Amino acid sequence: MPRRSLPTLLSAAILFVFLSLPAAAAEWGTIRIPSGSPVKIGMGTMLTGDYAGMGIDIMHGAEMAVKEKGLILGHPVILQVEDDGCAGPPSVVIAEKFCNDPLIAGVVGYMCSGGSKPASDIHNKYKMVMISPSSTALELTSRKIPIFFRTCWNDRIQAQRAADFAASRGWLRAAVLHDKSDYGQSLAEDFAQHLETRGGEVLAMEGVTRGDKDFSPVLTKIKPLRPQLVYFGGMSAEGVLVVRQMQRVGIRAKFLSDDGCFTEKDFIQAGGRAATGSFVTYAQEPDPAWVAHFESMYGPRQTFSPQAYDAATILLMAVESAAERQPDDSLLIDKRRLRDALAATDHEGVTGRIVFDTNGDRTGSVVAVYEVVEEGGKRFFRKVPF
Amino acid sequence: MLSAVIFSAAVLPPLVGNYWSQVLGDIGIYMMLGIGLNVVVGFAGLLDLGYVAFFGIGAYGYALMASPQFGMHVPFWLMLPVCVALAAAGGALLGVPVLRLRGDYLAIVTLGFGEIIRVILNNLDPLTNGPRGLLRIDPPFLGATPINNPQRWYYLILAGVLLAAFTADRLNNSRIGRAWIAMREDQDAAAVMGIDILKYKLLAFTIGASFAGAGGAIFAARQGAIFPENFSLMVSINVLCLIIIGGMGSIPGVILGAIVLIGLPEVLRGTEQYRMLSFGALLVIMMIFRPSGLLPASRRRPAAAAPREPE
Amino acid sequence: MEAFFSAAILCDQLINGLTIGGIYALIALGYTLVYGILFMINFAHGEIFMFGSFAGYAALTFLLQYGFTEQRPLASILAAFLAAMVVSALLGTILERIAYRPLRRASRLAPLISAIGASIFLQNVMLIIIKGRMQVYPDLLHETFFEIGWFNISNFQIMIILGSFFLMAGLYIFIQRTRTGRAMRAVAEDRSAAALMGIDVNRIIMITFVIGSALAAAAGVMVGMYYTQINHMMGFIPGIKAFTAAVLGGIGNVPGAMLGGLFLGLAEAFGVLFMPAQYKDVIAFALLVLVLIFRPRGILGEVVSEKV
Repeated sequence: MPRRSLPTLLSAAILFVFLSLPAAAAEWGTIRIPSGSPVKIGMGTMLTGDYAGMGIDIMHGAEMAVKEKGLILGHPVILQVEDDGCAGPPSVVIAEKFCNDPLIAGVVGYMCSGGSKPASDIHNKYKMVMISPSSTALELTSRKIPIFFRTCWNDRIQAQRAADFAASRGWLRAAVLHDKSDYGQSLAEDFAQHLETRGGEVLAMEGVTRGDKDFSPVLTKIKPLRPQLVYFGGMSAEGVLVVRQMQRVGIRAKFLSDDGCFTEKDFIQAGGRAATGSFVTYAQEPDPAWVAHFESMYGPRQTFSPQAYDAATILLMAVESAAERQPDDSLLIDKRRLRDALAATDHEGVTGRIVFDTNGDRTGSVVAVYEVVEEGGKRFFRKVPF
Repeated sequence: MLSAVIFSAAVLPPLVGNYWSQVLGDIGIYMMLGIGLNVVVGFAGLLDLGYVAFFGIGAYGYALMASPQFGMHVPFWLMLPVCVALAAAGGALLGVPVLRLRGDYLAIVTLGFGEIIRVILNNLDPLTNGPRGLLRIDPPFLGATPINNPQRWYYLILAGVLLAAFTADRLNNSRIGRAWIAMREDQDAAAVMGIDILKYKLLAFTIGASFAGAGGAIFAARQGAIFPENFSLMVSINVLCLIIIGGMGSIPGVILGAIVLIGLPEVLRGTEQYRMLSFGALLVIMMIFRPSGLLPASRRRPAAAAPREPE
Repeated sequence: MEAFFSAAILCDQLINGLTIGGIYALIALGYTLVYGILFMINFAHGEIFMFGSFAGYAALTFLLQYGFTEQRPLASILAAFLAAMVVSALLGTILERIAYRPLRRASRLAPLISAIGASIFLQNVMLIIIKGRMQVYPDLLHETFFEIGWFNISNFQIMIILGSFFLMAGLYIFIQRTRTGRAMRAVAEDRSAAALMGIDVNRIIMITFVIGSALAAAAGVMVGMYYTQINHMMGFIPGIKAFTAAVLGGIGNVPGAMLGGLFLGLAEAFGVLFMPAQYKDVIAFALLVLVLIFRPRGILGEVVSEKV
């Protein structure tokens, strides 16, 4: 590169200063859907990669709701799905894409808390509402961003309920494992803390690496502590290995985990006999009629499709109530009205009654406990009264 | 010609809008990383598979000093040179023990180092907040205006890329660059000529790392939130791929590589799984048929094209 | 604290270490054999291991459909091993022909980069085949546990430890006592001299890849049966760890790779007692860095060939 690069650098810098000053910060405003154009709902979920099964299931849930709605005030509704890779950088890129798309009214997403966190900042800049069906990290609502909502619970509630359950069964000596992820570690730490306030004793807190398969060393390490309970914060990929290897190593304790292990194929089937007798926390069992209908269309459901279905449904409801039909057949959606309509939701969804608190969390979202039982040659999750 | 290219690059953002400015910004950061790794791999012929470690050092360096984590809010422009220095120090620290190793051993050791850094970032919770990441990272300020939208960021990154390319080009045409060429072509002959091989290898490593440090600080400030999983081996491999496919040792090659490898998948969203598949196949194909890359360095043969010498 | 270091725990970790160590050793042998002959790191070796595991899985699933596995579980397992070794051997041969042979005279970096590319390619081929879902090895044998004194061991662990030992012993005998084995050692020591003596170098190289890949495939089936979960990335970290093991023992040195594998397995199992378990992987990486810096020749010393 010749010496001229220096003046060109200078000109770039000048242009930079010049053009950067009057950039507008997006505020509340209106979305206009012209006559004949569809109303779009954006969706960020994982389509390829480790948790694609869960991600595609989420997509199906939202898809089902959008198909059922069909039209809003005469305009067709379309779901635009993008792969958020369950991570920050792709979610940010998609967020920019959605927030700058004039036909998108709101977003169901993103799948993972690692993606929702930075994406929510972008949504907040553009004041575009987002409802996550599966991002359970506490910080998403503790920061009080007006446009963030979620139809799942937050992890603190889940961990506390798990600790309450353990205490109610008298399992006060617990060894806690987690997969060193944002999700797993937060749950594990909250569980430990809460168990101690209920009089429990946390004998060990150890992490395992996601992707690793050999947990015998760490399980052998905690075996002499004689725990009554092993709590695992993390996903089924590791959870199922923990529960199998617990048996192999000879740890006679109960196994309690989170919604990451609430999967038919990856936990119950993959776990075999070792999984029987394990406990898992998850939301209230969704409406069985809905489940039957969903499974007839998409096959066995994974964890969050009911939450995604509800999220899409209430978003569409809010859009419909906030939209104003114009004389020329276009729609005007005031962003603030849309947000307020969403915040005021009181709807009986397939996951229960949906009402939001001031931070965007569901109120009264009840976390239930399920046990893996074996009956009539089949193994399945059964809700435990608690 | 070059000024025309730069001028058209400068007027892109208002034309393409926020979403594409964001994508171009991502490409730009990879360009900076590519130019930096190019110094190590293309100029000096050292295969570094752990380059992401320096990227992470730069990013966490800035994020720790400009977020609620410690309550410190050092301005970006002040931290930028610090991050560069930190990454360079990391490069020097790593370089001293490992640069005596053979090419393939060096590759594996640097890979191990990259992974060690990531595990440390994920596990030193009191310092780095572990997997929960660092959030609410401060953006840079120009006077009173924050740089917090894709278009403004584009310009900052553009300036960064130009600066990086300019620096790399100056290096290439300097005494240091000529020592690197000599080293690359025939290490023993170069040593006989009086070139201190170890010193120049260390220089390459350190300087290459400093580019990543700058890129890391920019990445952290722009994303606003960083997590250890953002600094995985994949990033190192991505950067390596774009150098090799674009053209090792050649700055225009690296730029082309970034545009093709980072920009194209964004255009072709939805073919994600085939993207990595084609990366892998392309690496093999390029090595066999066109080891100097799509836009090779003009006069000199880059390291991968030089015939194998006896060890 | 005393609980950590009771005899029972140490014995348990010994078994854990030997089991995973045997697996590392089997994979490490592939690295060391190829490096001894070609002086290149077969970065895609971990993926050969992974493909072997999936081949075994495919064989078992196939047999399961016809009820074969219930009637004759042992025969099914052997069939799985066979299928895996054949598939991996084939894969190794193809890899050598396509990605490595054209680059034999190229620079040092080229085969390594090509290997990285092959590794990425193979991972993603499998990803597409299984659509990103984890696969589960069918439960054929039931794991039974024995308590022998302080030792708590299962039949699976016995199978893996004995199986890897016999395979390694077999390899050692092959290399030391057979003509082909001697030819392999000759090519490793001095390729041009071996060619002058009439040895078909290309054939020997192919045989090396076949053997190394078959061993890795055996390890793959063992891992599949023992841990039951397999996915497309399962070869990546074990591949790096096995390479560490090969370097530890002395790259190019066959007994060295075996020793290195066992040593690494034991280091991980015992190391976990002294640090938070999440640092287990760091043990391997740290060992790698330390060995390469302070004793690059490894424990048993590497096989040094004639330098021109």
